[in-house]
Amino acid sequence: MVFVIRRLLQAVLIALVMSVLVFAGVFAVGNPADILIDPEATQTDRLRLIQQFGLDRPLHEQYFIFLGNVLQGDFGNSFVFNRPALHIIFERMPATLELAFAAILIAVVIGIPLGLWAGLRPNAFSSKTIMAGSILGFSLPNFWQGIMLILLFSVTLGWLPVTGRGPVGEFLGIRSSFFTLEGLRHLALPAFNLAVGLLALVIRLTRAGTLEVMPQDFIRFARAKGLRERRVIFIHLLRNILIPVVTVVGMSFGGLIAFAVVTETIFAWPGMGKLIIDSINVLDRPIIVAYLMVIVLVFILLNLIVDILYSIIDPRIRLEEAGQ
Amino acid sequence: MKSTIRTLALGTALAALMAGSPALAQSLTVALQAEPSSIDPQFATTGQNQQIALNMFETLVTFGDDGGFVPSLATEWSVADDQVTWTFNLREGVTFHDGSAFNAQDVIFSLERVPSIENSPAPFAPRVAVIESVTAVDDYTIEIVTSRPAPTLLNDLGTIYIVSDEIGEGMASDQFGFGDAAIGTGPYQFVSYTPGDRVVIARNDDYWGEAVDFEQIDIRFISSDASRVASLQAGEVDMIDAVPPNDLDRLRALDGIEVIAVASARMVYMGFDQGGETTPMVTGTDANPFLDVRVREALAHAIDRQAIVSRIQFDSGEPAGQFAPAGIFGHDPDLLPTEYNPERARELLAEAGYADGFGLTVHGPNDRYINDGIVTQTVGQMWAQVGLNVAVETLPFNVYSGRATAREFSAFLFSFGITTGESGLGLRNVLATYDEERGWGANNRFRYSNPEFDETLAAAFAEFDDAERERLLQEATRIAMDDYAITPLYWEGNNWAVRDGLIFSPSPDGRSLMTNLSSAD
Repeated sequence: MVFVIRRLLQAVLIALVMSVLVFAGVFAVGNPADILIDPEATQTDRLRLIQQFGLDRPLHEQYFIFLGNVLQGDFGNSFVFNRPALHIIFERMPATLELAFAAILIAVVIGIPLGLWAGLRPNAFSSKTIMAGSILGFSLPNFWQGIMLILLFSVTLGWLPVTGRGPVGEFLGIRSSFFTLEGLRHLALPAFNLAVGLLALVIRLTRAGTLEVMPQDFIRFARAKGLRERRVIFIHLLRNILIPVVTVVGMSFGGLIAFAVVTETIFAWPGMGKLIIDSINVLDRPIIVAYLMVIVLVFILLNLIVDILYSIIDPRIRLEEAGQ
Repeated sequence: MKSTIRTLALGTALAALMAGSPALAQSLTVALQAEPSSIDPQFATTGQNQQIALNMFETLVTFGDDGGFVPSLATEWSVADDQVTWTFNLREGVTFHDGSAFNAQDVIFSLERVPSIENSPAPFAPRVAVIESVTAVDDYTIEIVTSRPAPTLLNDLGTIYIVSDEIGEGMASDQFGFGDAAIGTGPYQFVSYTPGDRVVIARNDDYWGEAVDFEQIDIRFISSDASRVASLQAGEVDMIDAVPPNDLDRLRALDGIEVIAVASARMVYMGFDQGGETTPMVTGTDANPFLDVRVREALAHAIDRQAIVSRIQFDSGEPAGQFAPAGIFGHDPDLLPTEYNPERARELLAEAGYADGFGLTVHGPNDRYINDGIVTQTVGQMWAQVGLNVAVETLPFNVYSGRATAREFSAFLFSFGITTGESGLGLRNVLATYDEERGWGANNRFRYSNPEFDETLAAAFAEFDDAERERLLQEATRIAMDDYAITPLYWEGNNWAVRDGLIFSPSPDGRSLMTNLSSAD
C-alpha cells in the first residue's frame, strides 16, 4: 500500500514537471493567436480574443492561473472547441484504448508462439523466415505499412473497410467495437498496423529468451524428472522468459495509447492520437497540456501494473524492492 | 395461393432490381478533409464549420454566382434614405426542423445571440457589431438600424445563420452537437455528430425550397489524403473533397470516378517586408531592397506562375494577378497576372542598383496550403535565376505563422481566402496600412502602406451604390498592384471527386456543400 501511494505521489510530481515543460514548449513553438484567430478579424477583435484566452499575460502568470484552475479540477477549455479539454480527451479515449488493446492482443497472441517456435528450432527454415519477417516489421515505416494494408486489403481485395471506426456494441456495460462484427472488421487493419512493430519485438524477445533458458540446468532437470515436453515449455520455460516480455508489452501499451498518431490519422480512427496531432498543429494548448498529463498518469499506472505482474509471475520479486 | 406469393415476391425483386440505381443514391457517404470545431453555426466563421452549417442552417440573404445577393429567408429588403434603417421582409411558410414556424422573433433572437458567444477564435460578432437595434414591425417584417451607414451590411448578414428562438437564451454551443439545439430551416437536418469521426444529416422533407436528392448523408472526416482517396477508390465513400493535385490525373483516368477541379477564392502570394530601412533576411546590402518598387516589380516578373500552377499544382488553380478571382465582387477583369519576363527582372534589378543581386532567405509554410513547401522552393529557384543569392526555409505553419506576424521574414509566402463574396475585407486586412487603433491591416505582415490606397478603400466601405463601390474596390486593388505591394501567385485549386451517378456543382465559395451534390438520374 505504501508502495502504491508513493507511486501516485510520484505521478503528481511528474505531471507537474510535465505541465511546466509543455507550457514552455508551446510558448516556444509559436503564438496560438496567430493560427487560431480568423484572418478576417479586425485588430480590435484580435486583441479582445487574445485577452479572452489570457494570451496577453506573461507566461508565468498564465501558468499559475492554469495551475490554480487545475487544483479545482478545471483543465481549461480548448481554444478550438471551447469545450472542457479533459472532457474532449475522455470522449476520444475509448477508441484509442480499444485500438491499443487489440494491437497488444495481436502482438502477444501471434508473437509469443512465433518466438517460441523460432527459439526452439533456431536453424529451421521456418524460423529464419519468421526472424527475417520480424526485421521487416521493425524497419518498414508505420505510415507506409498502413497505406499498403489499405491498398491491398481494402482497395484491391475489398475485404476490409478502408477507414473509420465501426458500430460499437455493448457488453457488460462496456461499449466497444469488439462486440460487433462490423466493428471488428473496422478494427482489424488499424490494430494490425499498430501492432506490427511490437509484434516484431515480442517475437525477438521470446526467441532470445528461449535460446537463453533452454540450455539451463532446471530445464534439463525437468526433463530428467520425466515431465512431458509440453509441460517443460509452457510452464518452466515460458514462465522464465515472460518477465522481459511483460515489461516490454506493458511499457509499449503506454506508447501505443499515447502515440498511435500515425495509425489513427491514416485510418481516420477517432481516437486521442488524431486529436493531439490536430491540437499541436493549431497550438491548442489546453488540450496538449491536459493530454500529456493524462498520458503521464497512464504511464505511471502501467508501471505499477507491470510491477504487480512481476510479483505474480516470479514470487521471488517483492514489490517493495521493485519500487526502490 | 402459393403461386401468388411467389409471383409477388418475384415482382418485388424485379422492382427492386429496376429501381436499383436511384435507390442506391438515396443515402450517401462522403469524406471531407477538415472537421468542424462545433455544430453551433454561430460559433466560428472557419471554413470547416461553415460547410457543415450551410447544409442545415440558412441566412437572410445568400451570395449569387455573379457577386450579387439572392433572397433566402428574407424575400425583399430596402434601406431608407437615412442610410441606417434597413427593412427586411421575411419569407412566410418556412418551418424549422422541429416543426415550429419561422418568424421575426427567430431573426431577432439569432442576431442577438451572436455577440453573446464567448471564446470563439473566429467569432461572428464583428459582423453584427454595426447593428444597433433589431425590431419586429410585424411577424414577417423586421427593421435593422445600424450605428453608421453600412453599405456592406448584406455581405455580413449573408453569413449569419438563423437559429430557432425556441432553443432559448444562453444555449451553449455544445448543445448543438450533443443536445437537441441544432434546429435550422435548411434543406438538410441534423441527425448526429461523433467528434473526430462523422456528422450525419438527413433530408428535410418540409423544406420550403427545392428538395434535395438524398435521404441521408454520412459526412465522414478523413484527414489523411491517401486514405481519403483510397476510400473513394474502394467504393466506401461516394465523394471526397480536397483531392491532392498529385492524384488528379490518376483519378481522372479511372472508370466510375469523376473529378471536379476549379480555382478557389484563396489567393496565395509572396509578401515583401517594406516596414523599415533594414530587413532581417537580406544580406549583401545594408539597405532594405524591398523599399524600392523596381525590386518588387523585378521579383514579380521573375516568377513563372503558369509553370507553378501546371507543374506543382498539376493544373489545379489559376495564376493570379490580384486579390479577388472572377466572380467575386471587386474583381477587375483588366488586371492580369504579371508577365513572366526574367530579362525585364534583371534589367529592373540593375536599375535599382542590384545588378549583382543580393542575398535573401525566402520563407514559407510546409503543411498549410497545397504543396506550399515546394511552391516556396520553386519561387526561390526562380529568383535565383535572375541573380539573387537565394536560400529557402520552410516551416510548419504553427511555428511559421507566429514568426511571420513577428516580422522575422523578408520575403515570404502567405495566403488569404475570401469568404464573404467581396474583396473588401481582404484588402483591408492584408493591404491597408497597419493600424491597431483603426483595426486595419491585421494581416499586413509586410507593412505595405499607401495613403491613397487607404483612402480609396475607406471610400469604398462608405459607398452605398454597388457599381460605384465595386469601382472603388477595383481602383484600390489597382493602386496596390501597381505598387507591387505583394506578388500574387495563384488562386489555389479546389478539387472534388465523385463516383459516377453523382453531380457536384461547386459554388463560388469553394465549400464542400452537400446542397451542391445531386443525383444524375
